[in-house]
Amino acid sequence: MTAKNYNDCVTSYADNVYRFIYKSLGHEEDAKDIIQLSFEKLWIHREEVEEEKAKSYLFTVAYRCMIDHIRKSKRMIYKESISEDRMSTVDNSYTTKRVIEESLATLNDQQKQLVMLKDYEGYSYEEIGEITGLNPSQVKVYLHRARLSMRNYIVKYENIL
Amino acid sequence: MITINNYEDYFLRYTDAELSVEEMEMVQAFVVNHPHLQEELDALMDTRLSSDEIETINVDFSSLLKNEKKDEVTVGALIELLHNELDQPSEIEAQINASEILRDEWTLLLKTKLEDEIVIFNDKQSLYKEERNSSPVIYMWRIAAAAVFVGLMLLGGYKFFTKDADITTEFVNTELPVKDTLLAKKKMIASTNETSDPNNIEELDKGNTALGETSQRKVETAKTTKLLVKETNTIESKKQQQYVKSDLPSQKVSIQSNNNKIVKDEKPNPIIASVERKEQSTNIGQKKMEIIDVDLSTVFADNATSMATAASYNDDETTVLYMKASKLKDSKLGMAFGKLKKAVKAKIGLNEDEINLKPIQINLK
Repeated sequence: MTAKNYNDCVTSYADNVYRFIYKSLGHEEDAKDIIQLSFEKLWIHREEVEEEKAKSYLFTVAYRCMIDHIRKSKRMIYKESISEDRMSTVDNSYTTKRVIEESLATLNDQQKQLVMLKDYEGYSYEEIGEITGLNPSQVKVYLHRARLSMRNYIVKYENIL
Repeated sequence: MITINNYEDYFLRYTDAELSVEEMEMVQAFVVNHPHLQEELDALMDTRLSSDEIETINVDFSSLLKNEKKDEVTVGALIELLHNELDQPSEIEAQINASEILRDEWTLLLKTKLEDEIVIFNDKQSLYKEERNSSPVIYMWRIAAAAVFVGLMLLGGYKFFTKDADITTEFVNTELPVKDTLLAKKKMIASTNETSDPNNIEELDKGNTALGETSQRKVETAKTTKLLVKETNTIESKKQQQYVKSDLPSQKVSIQSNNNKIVKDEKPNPIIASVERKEQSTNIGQKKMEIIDVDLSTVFADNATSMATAASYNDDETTVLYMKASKLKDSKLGMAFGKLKKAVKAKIGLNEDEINLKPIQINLK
């Protein structure tokens, strides 16, 4: 990978990787630090990384940096946290999107990250497995559970309304 | 034994058919002996459900279990379809279209899919990189530029720290070369205009009419010479005002400073010449030149680099080449005057062999 290829990766993928990390951590500055680290690693190893696999490489590095960060700081701050008050209050501005965000927030970290990799980036079970270090079967099972959990949350919300 | 005190327990157990045959006969004999309790026993017996009623509410659980199992499998397939992981999604899509229940389930699952959300990383500029050492030529240029920069810094530093050092130059002092040069000019002009009196401009003006246009040039020369004398006096009285200007219509200009006094002052030493073109023309060697104005001036410079820079002024300006006496010694004269020679050559278009440069001496042949 040349410097030009690397800079193209910055242009094409920086937003995607940042979205994934930022929405996982819920912390802007930490997410930016992880993005810097990830691209720095890509730059250092650019000669070994093929251009076609650069995006996957970036997500892999960013994911691992994020896991390390979480383990070190034990800090997970979610912008959208569900409160019982909000569950019991009917608000006209309570959009479907917010309900989905809340259903996502009910998932554990791993399920949430898998759902984002699947829905935002469109990765296959196998690709997600490469990024997260899981095998494809595990990815499938975890994703199914996550999806059913989100579905049940939405049903519960609609029943309350 | 059944008595009036415990008959209720026996009645309930009789109703539920929980008594033995003997106990049941005993209960029936007790009711005969106590007919007022017959009605109570009949009421309890009426609460029993008949076997016919039980048959009518029987449900086909097997069919329910089968349906439940089928739905569970289908939801998994729907999730696979949602994840775009099915090899033949058309089969499931057909089932969805055929079943209202599946359609509702599919609609619900679609809601769990995250919508594409745009999140911008604003600090991309910090991520962009440039390839280093990509070109040997660029690399060499950078090294060369760095070397030049370091060299200039060293030269400047050396000049700075040697600024106050004693000067033992064997070249001219401040005013004498100017004076000598002016005198030389004066002599030259006088030799070319024997009839003119440089100290009497008024007479020259008067004679100007009589002499006509042919003598106009001589009169102007005399005026110039007069000016030179005045300025020379000024220089002698004020060392810091060492500016003399002369328009010399001569084809041969000689500026000499052959004084070898040792000077120790730090005042700038006029050395050099400024050469510019005038409208009048003359011939110098093979070149048709304009009248050359040699200007002895007291201009300051720190080093040869400045001099070279000064020499590169555009053609509309006077090219000034200069150097302080102390700096003259500190720098390598050969190199400095070599540059001066090139500058003069570039400026007035003379061949190198037409310019004879010696320390503090410029001859334009």
